[in-house]
Amino acid sequence: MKSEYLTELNNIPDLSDEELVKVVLETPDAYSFLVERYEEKLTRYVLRISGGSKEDVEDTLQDVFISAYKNLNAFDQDLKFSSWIYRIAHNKVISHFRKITARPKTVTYEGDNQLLNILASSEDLARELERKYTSQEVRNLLGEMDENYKEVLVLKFLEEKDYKEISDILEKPMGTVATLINRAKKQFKEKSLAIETARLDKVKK
Amino acid sequence: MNNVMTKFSENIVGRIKSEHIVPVPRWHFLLKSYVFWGLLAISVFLGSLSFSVIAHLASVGDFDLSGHLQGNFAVSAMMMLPYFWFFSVAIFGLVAYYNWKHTRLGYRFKRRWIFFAGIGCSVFFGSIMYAFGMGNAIDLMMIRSMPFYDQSKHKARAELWLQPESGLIMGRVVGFDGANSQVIIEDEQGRDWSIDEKAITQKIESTIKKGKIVKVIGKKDGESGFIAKEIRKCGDCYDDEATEIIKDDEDMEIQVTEKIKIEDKKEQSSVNDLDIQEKQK
Repeated sequence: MKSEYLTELNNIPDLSDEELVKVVLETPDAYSFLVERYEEKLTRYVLRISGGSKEDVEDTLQDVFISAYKNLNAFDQDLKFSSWIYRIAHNKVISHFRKITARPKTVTYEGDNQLLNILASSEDLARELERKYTSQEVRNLLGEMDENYKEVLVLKFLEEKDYKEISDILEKPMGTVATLINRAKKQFKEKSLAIETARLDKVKK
Repeated sequence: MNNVMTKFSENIVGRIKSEHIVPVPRWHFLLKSYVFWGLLAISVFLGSLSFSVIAHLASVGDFDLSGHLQGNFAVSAMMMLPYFWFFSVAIFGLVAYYNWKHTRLGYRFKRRWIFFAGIGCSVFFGSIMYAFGMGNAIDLMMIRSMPFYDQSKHKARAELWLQPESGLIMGRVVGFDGANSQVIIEDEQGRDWSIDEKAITQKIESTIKKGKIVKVIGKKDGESGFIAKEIRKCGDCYDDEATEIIKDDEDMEIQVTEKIKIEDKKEQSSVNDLDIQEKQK
């Protein structure tokens, strides 16, 4: 059994996350591989949905990985490991940030302009919006959105998760996820139109 | 291992080692899961039992009587509803919902589907239990073991059936007046009523036995008379024990009745014989 795992350790880069979980349960040192696979992705995700400082995010992330390690035996092999660890991150963000701070006002991760493009592309608004708004405005726009809506947009368009994965992460039925995404897109457009109207009024004056 | 750890992953692994953190054993999660599934099964079972009692009470209830009452239908119907059991189904339904939500797959279904599935399970299993007489048995058990349950049922029944002016009375059969085709019943307040049963079109003989509690629908006639249109068994009165107690008395009454019938027949046949003899003459 042990030798089997030692062999597996040499092939770690080829192992799937789910296989790696089994290895970690036998050889705790192998956990560093899992941490490295998700460190950057989860940092980005936590930053996007929490709007906290980098220090806060790092603390949260430590808790996420420690909590995931403690609960490795609860990992359900029917799920993707990524969904499972994103779920832990989602729950930690709720308990860490939303309890102690008021609603985050901005999304601080650079590069979120792509959300604007992806979001609107389905209805040919992308280029138009891109022309009209600065990246700061997009961040403000996202920061003003309801938490639930913002998070599904981040998962769907920035983390590129499918409905099933989002359902597993947020622990909501897939139908609810679809509804949330539609409402989020609608709210995003409404807010962008409000900004546009305000800007036009300013120009007129 | 060819792994070149980042500073962050080093920190994590270092913390795990220094704080001696170990994964929580698998049995812990399995136990938690079994507890939720177990509680879910128990709550569905209890919800089904509650539904079986509702079905039983509906089958022996008096929902057809709203027309006999002076109040409006809504008030009358409300008075007859088995609140306790509806409340019970709702509570176990909520417990089942809570437990289902905490199972591994709980989040995958919409709230309304979980709710309808819970109700559906209670109705399905409750109907089976009712068919096997469990609703009746549970109701009886509750009456015997919980005085407040018995009292509240009793009170609701009395409110409905102690309304002679509205044509509804209920009481225990205490005697018969064969000559006038009357049944004597004693109501809860100890008052005797002479029930005239001539107008009854459909009579179920087994219902009208001494010691049995009967419900009578009809019209008040004088101070203690009542013209019955219908006499029905009190399905949820559980008066069988009382019947058992006076069984001997009743047996004796049956014997006397049989004897009278035989004598009547003899008398009748002798009258017939006399008629024949006279005709022959």
